Amino acid sequence: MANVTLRGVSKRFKNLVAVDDVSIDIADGEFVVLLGPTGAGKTTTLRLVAGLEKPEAGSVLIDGKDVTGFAPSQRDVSFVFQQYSLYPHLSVRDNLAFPLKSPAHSLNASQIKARVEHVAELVQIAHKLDNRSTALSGGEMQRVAIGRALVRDPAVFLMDEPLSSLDAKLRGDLRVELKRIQKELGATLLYVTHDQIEAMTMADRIGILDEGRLVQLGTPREIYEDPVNVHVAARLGQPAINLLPVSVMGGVSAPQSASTMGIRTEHLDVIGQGTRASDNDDAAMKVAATLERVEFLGDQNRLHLRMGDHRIVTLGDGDIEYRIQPGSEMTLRARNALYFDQNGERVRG
Amino acid sequence: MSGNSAHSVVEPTTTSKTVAGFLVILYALITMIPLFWIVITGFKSPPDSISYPPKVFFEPTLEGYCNLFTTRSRQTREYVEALGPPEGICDEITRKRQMVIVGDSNYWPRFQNSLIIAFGSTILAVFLGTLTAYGFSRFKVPLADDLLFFILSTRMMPPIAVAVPIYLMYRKLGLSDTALGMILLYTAVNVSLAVWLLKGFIDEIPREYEEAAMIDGYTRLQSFWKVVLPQATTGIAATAIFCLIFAWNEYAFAVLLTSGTAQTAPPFIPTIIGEGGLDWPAVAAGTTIFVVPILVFTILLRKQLLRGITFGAVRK
Ligand SMILES: Nc1ncnc2c1ncn2[C@@H]1O[C@H](COP(=O)(O)OP(=O)(O)O)[C@@H](O)[C@H]1O
Ligand SMILES: [Mg+2]
Repeated sequence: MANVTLRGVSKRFKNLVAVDDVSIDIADGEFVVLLGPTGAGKTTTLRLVAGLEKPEAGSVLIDGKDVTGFAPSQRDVSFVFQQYSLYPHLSVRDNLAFPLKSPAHSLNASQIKARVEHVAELVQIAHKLDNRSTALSGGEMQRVAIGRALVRDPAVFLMDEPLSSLDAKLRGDLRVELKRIQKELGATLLYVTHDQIEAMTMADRIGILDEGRLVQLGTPREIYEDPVNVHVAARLGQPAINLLPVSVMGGVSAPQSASTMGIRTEHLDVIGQGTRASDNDDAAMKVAATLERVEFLGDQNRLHLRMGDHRIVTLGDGDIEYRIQPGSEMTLRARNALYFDQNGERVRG
Repeated sequence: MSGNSAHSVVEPTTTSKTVAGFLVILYALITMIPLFWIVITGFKSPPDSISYPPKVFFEPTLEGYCNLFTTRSRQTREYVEALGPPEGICDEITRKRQMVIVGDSNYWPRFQNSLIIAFGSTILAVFLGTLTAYGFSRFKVPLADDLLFFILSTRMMPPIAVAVPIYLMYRKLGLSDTALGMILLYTAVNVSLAVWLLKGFIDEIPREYEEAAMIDGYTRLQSFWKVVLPQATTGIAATAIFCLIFAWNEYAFAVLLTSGTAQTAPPFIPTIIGEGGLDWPAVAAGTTIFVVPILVFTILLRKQLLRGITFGAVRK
């Protein structure tokens, strides 16, 4: 395993800048997740590290060595693609053995067999080794695809939304498994996703990509609690952060240049029901809102509220729906608000 | 669009399937009449073959096949009767017509020429076509669209339009009436079809497969060999059949550019003359045998052929 460094890497396709001056240092054994919407340049970034694309500017270093001009086969990386993960003309076993049979390795048949079987255990596909790769379920295919990356012992693993085509349950299971395997192997892993849960649960550090730029890089907690701009703040958190003009909250001591405030749902407490905000409550940032709708999710309820022209969402306990009806007035108190200026950049008080 | 399943848009009804099946069978029967006629004519005697009205019921004989493979000369009745017992059925049939077999005809060498030239040019065209199509499919080729159109445009001219220049060129180059010359010519004609067909097939193979192989330590050529080719077999088989059918049946170039050593079967068959004009049973016998290889090949690869024909119409 090795560390990976991107230094000011840029890639354009005709007029479109797909990756814009991205710099990251990934430590040996670190799990870094790039998070961003479709078209943010996540795949292109991975392809640049793998050598499938040549950057217009900047350099890629693997294990301290500048590999910018190297062919993919010379870089010692393994890649799990978003789609088309398995060779349809080969069995599961041959798919797993394929990387080991390359000219880059000089393993004999019994070594290959041992390695393939070890990895098949690791990704729990041993019972399907002799199946055709097209005769697998989506989850099994993706296990094999991950297994094929794991059979080698590369400098770095690159994974492009490997779980995005799976259903929620499988995605959850494989997420846990993948994290466990990565820890076990001490693998350096650069992982791409648009799913914030995957990013939050697996990453040592998250890099937020937006329109080719790396907007913020930090631990999941840093990114969540201390976002650099309104896009990053909106990216994480389910339901999304409530964004409101500073003026709508009474008694707010907002910084001078702030124009928008962001309040996460868990920081918006219901302090009174069926009453107007009482003036003798001295806590700042109180607001009255009308309940529009309750979404019952089992362990919690999402309260959709209307506040003048604005809609906000907060959380209530599991049985709140029995106590209040849509249309009723309630008082909320906000904590830990984040402020942003007119351009969406963070303003720190 | 759910709930109402009384009329399905995708699944044809039993009645329409029956009607369609009936029409297809009728059409197939009609198109097979000439083939059927050729096959039965091969077993007729020369008088039966030209009798009017045409005979559907007749006494079958192998005379056409014997005449196809032999050359014969007429002898006096005394000479024929003085000969020993006939060797084989052809000898017997020939003697009944007061003739003796004096040697083999040119049919078999011509047939061999056809095999060499058709298969040779097919292999070459598919080989070149696969590599070219892969190049166009995977690399940024400058002016790719114009080049592809140019490649296709070589197919637009009828053979007769280019036959004279090619004839002159081949004479200068010493390629006229050689198997090599014919292989090169048919390859040149077929390669455009091969490139276009195969490019479509290779475009369908996601490039991620090769990229994965290259990341895993294979060179581009090795990835092509191990990953692209196995997935392109259907396309290659379909392309090969189309190329083979063209080269096997080609007549215009063959008639103009070959006369002796490299002559293929199509220009040879119409020259089979018997006494008093064309020997129709022998011609029919030659045609029947000529159809067999392509028939076998097509039946063996019919799945791929179908996929080649309906290419692009069906999404996976
Ligand atoms: N080969 C290519 N040619 C042209 N544009 C491309 C190519 N690959 C990606 N792009 C463009 O670059 C941008 C980033 O793409 P990508 O890295 O695939 O995004 P993501 O993986 O985050 O969805 C997109 O706008 C995409 O359309
Ligand atoms: Mg992508």
